[in-house]
Amino acid sequence: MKDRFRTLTDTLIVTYLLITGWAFFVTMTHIFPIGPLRPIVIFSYGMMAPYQGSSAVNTELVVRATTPEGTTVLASIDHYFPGLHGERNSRQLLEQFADRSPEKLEPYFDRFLEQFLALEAGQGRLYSSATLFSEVWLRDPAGYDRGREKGVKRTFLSQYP
Amino acid sequence: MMQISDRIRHFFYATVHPHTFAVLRIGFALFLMLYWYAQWREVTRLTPAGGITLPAVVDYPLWLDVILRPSLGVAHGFFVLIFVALVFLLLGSYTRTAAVVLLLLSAHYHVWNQWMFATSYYRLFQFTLAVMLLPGADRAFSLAMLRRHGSVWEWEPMSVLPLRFLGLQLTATYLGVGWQKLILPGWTSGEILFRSFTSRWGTEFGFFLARTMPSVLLDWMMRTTLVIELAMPFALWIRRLQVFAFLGGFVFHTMVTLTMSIWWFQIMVPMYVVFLDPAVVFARLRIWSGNRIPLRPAGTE
Repeated sequence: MKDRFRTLTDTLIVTYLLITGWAFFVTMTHIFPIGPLRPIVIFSYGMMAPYQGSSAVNTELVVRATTPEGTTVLASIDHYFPGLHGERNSRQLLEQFADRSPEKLEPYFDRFLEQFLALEAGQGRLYSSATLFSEVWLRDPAGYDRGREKGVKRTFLSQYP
Repeated sequence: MMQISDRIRHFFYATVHPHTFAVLRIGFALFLMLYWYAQWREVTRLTPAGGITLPAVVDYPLWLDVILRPSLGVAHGFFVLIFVALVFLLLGSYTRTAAVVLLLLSAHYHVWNQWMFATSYYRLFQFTLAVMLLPGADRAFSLAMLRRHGSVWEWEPMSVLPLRFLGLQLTATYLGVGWQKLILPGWTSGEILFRSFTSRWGTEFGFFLARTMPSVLLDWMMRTTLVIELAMPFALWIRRLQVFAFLGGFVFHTMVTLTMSIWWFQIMVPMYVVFLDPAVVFARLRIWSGNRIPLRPAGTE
C-alpha cells in the first residue's frame, strides 16, 4: 500500500515537473501546445507569465446612446464592471479572447449593449438604441484622462439593436 | 555521501516539522479573506442586477443562469459559502474538505465571472489550494490537533512534499516572469515603466513617478527590477542569499502595489517561508510561543 502511494506521488512530481517545464518553454518561445494537455500547460504558463509588456496608448469603451426623441448622449460603461480600474478596463475590452477580430468580438459587444440598455432603463434612462466605440489616446503622465483631452481616435465596434 | 537519487528522495520526501505549512495555511486563509471580501464588496456589479455579465460558457440551458448569471441573493450565498470554507481553512478543521470546497467555488467563480480577467494570481491561489489537499496543513496550530491531541499546540510531523511544490512553483513563476523579459520587446529601457505607471493600472504615485523621475532613473529602476527577477529563482534557495531575495521580493511587490495597484501578488512574500528550513521555523516559533509548542510530536513524549 505504501509502495503504491509512493508510486502515485512519484508520478505526481514527475508530471508536475514536466508540465511546468513545458509551460516555461511556452513562456520563452510563445509556441503554444495543441492536444489534450493544452489546458493544463496553459494554466501553468498563466502562473509564470503575468506581465508581458505595455503599450503607449490607453483604450476604453464608450457608448453613444439614442433616446426615443432622437437625441444622443455619450456614456461610459466602465461603472458596470467590477474591480479596480485596470481590471474593469481589461474586462470590457474582452482581452481574454485569443481571436480578437471584430467579427468574433461583435456578438459579445452586442450583449454588452443589450445589458447596458436594460441597466440604464432600470435607472430611468430610456434609450432606443446604442452604439459602442473604442476610444484610444496617448498615455500622459499628467493623468489617465489627460491624453484623452488632447485627442482620441474613435473606432466603431457594434450597434444594438 | 548521499547518492543523487537519495538526495532527490530526501528533497521531496523528508519528514519535517509541520509549522511552516501551518503558518502558510493561516496566512493564506487570511489573505484569501481579504481577496474575497474585495470581490464581495462588488457583488452588485457581479450580477445582472447592477453589472454587465458574461459567463465563459456561451450556449447553456436557461436554468444554469442560476449559477452563471446569479441573482443578488445567490451571489451573496456564494460569498457566505466561501467565507465559511475559509474559516475552516484558517482554523485547520476539515482542512482538505475546505480546500476542495474553495477550489470548486473558485472554479465556479472563474466560469461565472473571473474568466474575463483570467489572471496569474488567481491560478496561483488555486494551485496553493490544490497543494493544501496534500497532508500536513492542519498538523499544527489547528482544531484538528485540538480534537486529536487535546491542544492546538500539539503537532504531528509531515512530508516536506507540499512545501516543495509551493517552492518550485514560486521558483517557476519568477523564472518565467524574469527570464522572458530578456526576449520580450520593450525591456531595454525605463520607457516600459513609464508606460506602466501611466496605464489603466497606474496609481497616483505611479503617475507622480512618471512625471517626476528622469528617464535615467527609470532606466535604473527597470534594470534593478530585471536583476531582482532574474536572480530570485536561484537566490530563494541559497541560504546565504535568502535575506537579499526576501528583501528584493518585498520591495519589488510593494512597488508594484504602490505604482500599479496590483496587490494580489503581495501574498508571494509571506510564502517565501517555504524556502526556510522547517526545523528553523519550528525553533523560532517555539521561542515566540514561550515554549508552549512541545519539543516532540504528539504521542512521543
